[in-house]
Amino acid sequence: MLTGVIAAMSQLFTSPFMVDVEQIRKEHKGARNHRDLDRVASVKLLNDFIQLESVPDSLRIKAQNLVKSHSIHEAKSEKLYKELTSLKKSKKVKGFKNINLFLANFGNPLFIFVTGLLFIFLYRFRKNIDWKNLVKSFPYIGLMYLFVSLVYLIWVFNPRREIEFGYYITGILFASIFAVIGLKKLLMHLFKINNIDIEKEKLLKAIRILFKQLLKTNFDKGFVKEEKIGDYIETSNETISKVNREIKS
Amino acid sequence: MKSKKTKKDLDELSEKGLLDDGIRDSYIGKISQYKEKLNKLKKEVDEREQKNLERFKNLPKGRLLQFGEFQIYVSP
Repeated sequence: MLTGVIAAMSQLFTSPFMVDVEQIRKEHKGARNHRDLDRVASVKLLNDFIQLESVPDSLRIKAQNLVKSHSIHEAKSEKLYKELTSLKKSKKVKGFKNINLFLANFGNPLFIFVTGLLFIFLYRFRKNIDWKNLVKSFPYIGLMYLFVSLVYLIWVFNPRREIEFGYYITGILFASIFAVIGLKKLLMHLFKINNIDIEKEKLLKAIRILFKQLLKTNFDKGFVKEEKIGDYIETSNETISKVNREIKS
Repeated sequence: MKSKKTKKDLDELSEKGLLDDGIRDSYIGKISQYKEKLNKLKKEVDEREQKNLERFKNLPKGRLLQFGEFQIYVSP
């Protein structure tokens, strides 16, 4: 359990922000911006150069086409950039880039949360639980956990960015099979929902009621005549021995 | 009344949880109570028989005699 907690929290000890990479990224961005500004300025300068009379016609036509194509592409780029930012914003879910990332980061912690609740629940009702039979569901639940975690562990050591679809589906399939079997057994033996125990309790109670009437109430309330008491006691004794023989067999 | 066997049967039934607390003891108490009564009655009957034998020893034997509602027979 402790290794699990340490492994889950170990990412706190490593920073997600790499200072040296950020610094160089900033410098590169600055240099790139300057390069772009210089390019735009050079196109403008070209436009000015076209106006000179000493420029030959072939070069002038080429330059004019270049300036035109640059302005078209610049307008298109600006328009597409705006569309991109608004589309990205629409796809965001609770601060995550898209719903896929949100679910990926939500699913596993939720799984762990539910497991915690389950343990607390089992402790709270420990006296009413049929533990010997409940434990029979544990191998299936354990296998379910193993399959789910194996998918992620294999992915971590795999160089691919996304979990491979084949592994994912296989893991889900087997995990769900074991989850269904394990959950069924868990619920069956939680709170002694096993039908045989409830029926047995009911029958025992019924037999107790009948014996009380036969052996106590009939005497106490004087339902048996004095002269018949001997016969009544004999028949009661026969009944008692018959019941005992039935129970023994 | 086979009280020994009954006691054993009752013990086994109460072990299995088929008898409420105290039912076994109260039943066995009643059996002994009525056994006592029965013995008392038997004693009374024996005493009466002895008394009557003495009272009617002079009557003829081996014949049923009727005195109004009462019948007397002295065995020979």
